[in-house]
Amino acid sequence: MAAAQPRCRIRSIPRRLHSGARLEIAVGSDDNLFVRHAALPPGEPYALEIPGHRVGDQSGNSERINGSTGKPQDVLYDTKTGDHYFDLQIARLPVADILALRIPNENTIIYNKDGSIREPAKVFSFEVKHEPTPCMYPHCAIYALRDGDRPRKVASGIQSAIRLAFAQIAERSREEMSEYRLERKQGCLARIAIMLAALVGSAIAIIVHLRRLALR
Amino acid sequence: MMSELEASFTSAKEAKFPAAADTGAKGLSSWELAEMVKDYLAKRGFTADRSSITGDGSQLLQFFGGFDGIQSGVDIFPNGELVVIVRKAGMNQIFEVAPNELERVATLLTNGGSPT
Repeated sequence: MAAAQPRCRIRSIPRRLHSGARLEIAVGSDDNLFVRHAALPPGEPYALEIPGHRVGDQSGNSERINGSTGKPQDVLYDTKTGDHYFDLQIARLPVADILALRIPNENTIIYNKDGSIREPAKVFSFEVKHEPTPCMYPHCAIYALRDGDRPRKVASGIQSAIRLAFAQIAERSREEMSEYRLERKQGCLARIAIMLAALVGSAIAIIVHLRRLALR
Repeated sequence: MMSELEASFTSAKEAKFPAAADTGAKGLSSWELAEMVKDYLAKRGFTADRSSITGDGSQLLQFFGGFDGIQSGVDIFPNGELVVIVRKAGMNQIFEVAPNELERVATLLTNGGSPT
């Protein structure tokens, strides 16, 4: 059994996301993963890749493990430096679709002298593992598997094919997900300054109005 | 939906790399190779609509202006390997091309995945 995570030291990440004493659990096929990526212009499709997608091990947040208080935007918190990703966008990847992916590498087929197949193509599939970090309990990783094992290297053509397959999955919810952004939280002093500025502005407007009335 | 996706990849063509050692691009850095590919394609009318460094370090050039809604791209890997991607009518085609076969890259992009 995995040990509990050390404490999260980044104050700007909500407590509900800290792992604390919670342990890792299995990711269900009815779950969704949220993956952050560099923003694309409005209306532009993913086309051939989700920007920055890593073929061998891609991070994302589980919607289910995050629970009812969780939000897709939680994936935009930076859990190492606290320098959060306010300008990035989010892709949604249904876990069932990730687990159903099968990408054969036809270059690995071995033929007999008569042309019949001696060994079929090695097939790439994917597993989704819950890997909580101290500041992000719903953190998961998607691993590529070749015939069931994690490969040390993935052929170039297969890397391109994998990126394309994930982009096609994410494309289905591209429009809906492009709306999600992490809101900048204003500090206490900034909020007081904004309120004071609004009050001063209103007072000046009232004085100007009263002077105009007095001059008539 | 997924079976469609699987079927489209099953039919994808993947050419084997010719002997990569005899490439004209031998000795080029990955940045120089990417620039060479971009220049070559630009001279043949292909200017990327989107250019990005992928999460695995390759440089991906994407072209969206193809007829019949074709999306295509060239993935330039740091080891010098080139991959041409063509997405046409819901079908994905992946071609591995050696760096000394730039003409083939241009042909595949021009013909929407057809080698001739």
